[in-house]
Amino acid sequence: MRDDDALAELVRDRGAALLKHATLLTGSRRGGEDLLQDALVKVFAGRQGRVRDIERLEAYVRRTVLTLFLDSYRRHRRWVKVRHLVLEPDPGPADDGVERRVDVVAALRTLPPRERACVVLRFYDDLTVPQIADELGLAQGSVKRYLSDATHSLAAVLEPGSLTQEAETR
Amino acid sequence: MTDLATLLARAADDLVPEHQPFTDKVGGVSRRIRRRRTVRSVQTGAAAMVGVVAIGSSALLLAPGPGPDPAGPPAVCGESAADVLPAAGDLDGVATIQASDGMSVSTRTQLENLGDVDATTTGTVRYLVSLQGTGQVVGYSEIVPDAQTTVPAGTSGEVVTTSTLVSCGFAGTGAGDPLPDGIYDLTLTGTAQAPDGSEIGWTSATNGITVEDGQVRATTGAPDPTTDPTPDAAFEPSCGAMIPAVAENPMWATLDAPAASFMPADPDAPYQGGMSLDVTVGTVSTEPIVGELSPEIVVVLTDHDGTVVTWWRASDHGRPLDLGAAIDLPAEGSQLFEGFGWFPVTDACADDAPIADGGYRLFGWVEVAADTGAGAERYPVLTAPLDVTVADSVLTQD
Repeated sequence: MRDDDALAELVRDRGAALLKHATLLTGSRRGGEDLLQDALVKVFAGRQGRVRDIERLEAYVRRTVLTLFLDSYRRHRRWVKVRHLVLEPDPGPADDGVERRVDVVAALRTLPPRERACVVLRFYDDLTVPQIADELGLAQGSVKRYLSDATHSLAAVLEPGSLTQEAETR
Repeated sequence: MTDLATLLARAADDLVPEHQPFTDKVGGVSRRIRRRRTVRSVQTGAAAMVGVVAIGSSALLLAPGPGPDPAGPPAVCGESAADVLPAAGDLDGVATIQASDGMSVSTRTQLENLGDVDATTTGTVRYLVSLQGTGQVVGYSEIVPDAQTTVPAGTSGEVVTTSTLVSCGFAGTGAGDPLPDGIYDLTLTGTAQAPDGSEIGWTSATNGITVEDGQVRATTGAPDPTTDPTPDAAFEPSCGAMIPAVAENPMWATLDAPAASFMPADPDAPYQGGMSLDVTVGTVSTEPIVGELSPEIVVVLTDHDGTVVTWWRASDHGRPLDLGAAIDLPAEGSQLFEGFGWFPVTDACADDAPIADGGYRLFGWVEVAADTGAGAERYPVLTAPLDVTVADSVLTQD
């Protein structure tokens, strides 16, 4: 399979899943698109003709999305863009479904990047704590701490006591 | 009570409701991939391209100066980065510039280990500064990190280093001097050791650096002709908008197509087809003008009303951007730069589709840096329009 064909197939079949993953990490659709584009460019530019299996490609791209997101330079850029959200959080009512979905994205943006990554990997991608630790190169205890801190922060922002946290330490 | 997983899933679906939300981005991603491959000099052809594009400036581009100082690494300076860097392997990464002060650069390298064995970094990390497009190494530095980094198989790890870049000795600088102003690629490379003692080379590319007034700063992002024009460029055409104007100054320029017509070409592989353009730069000044022509050129195709149909920027497609051709104009004189401009005859505003048949106008943008004795006076110049016709994807000068 040619690289262009592999790229087209990956984007066609897995583009939505990858973009959702990247969008939750960055907290915005535009940020997710930028992040995913950067990851695709990096993976395909560095592995010319070497990866033909779409599942492996997707795994490479997901990992690259994560490492790029955690890159501190980009973190700084995104921090500059979203810091007003942290300085003036909107604690508005959270009892409506649509508002809650918007709130959860805004709340995610207030988390430090590693906490945010842990939350997305655990609660959206459904990875276990050991898998997250492996993915991020962290100790399992660190992942548990990040998840605990993050879920408490999210619960406080969204609506105290509103979130179930049963899967926090699985 | 609502569980977080459900909230996130719904939020993701709200933010990305389409089934195939990214398919219209494939063209732009492909262009960036081709450019990245070129910039990283892992493909052949860069040297051959220099020979073609450097009309009027080849001597300047190819000459690394009188040779590096003995203290410099002669095995690196003047070489092609592609020859110096290890071949792409399982340990690869991307580096970002965290801070800079003068020529001192602090970088953070994220190494991904795609192999089956753990890797531990060892020895020296080398910074290679190279010319964009040609890949010729013109600067460097070396540093031994304070600590080793172990990157377990299938994970990533960080290498943080600070080092001071120096010139190999080119473009009027001596070996060991600060780098002259310009735009460069910056690549980090080093070695790691596998558990069995074997060595694994690694390479980590940055987005590049810009040196201005002796200060290094990171170049951000990769340009996309349709959506993400070069941030620092002075001339920014926009698809569907009027062609930007430039301020009046003592310079003028014209375009000319010496050959009747050429077939369309890949915008990322210039000079294989497309339209080659001669550029004539002149002045109305009654004083001679000596200086340098920008290596950058932007060629813009508009309709007869001046609306931008598509455009091609040399620096977006791997063309060297460090030294321009010398300008030496007598009073009210002019100078011809044969083949200095090029146009692919494809529509970058429509994912490189063929250009529709019809009548158009071509413009070229260049910049003259005139040496006034007290510094360089910069004169951006937009050429007079060249009337052209496209028929069956072939461009001809009217």
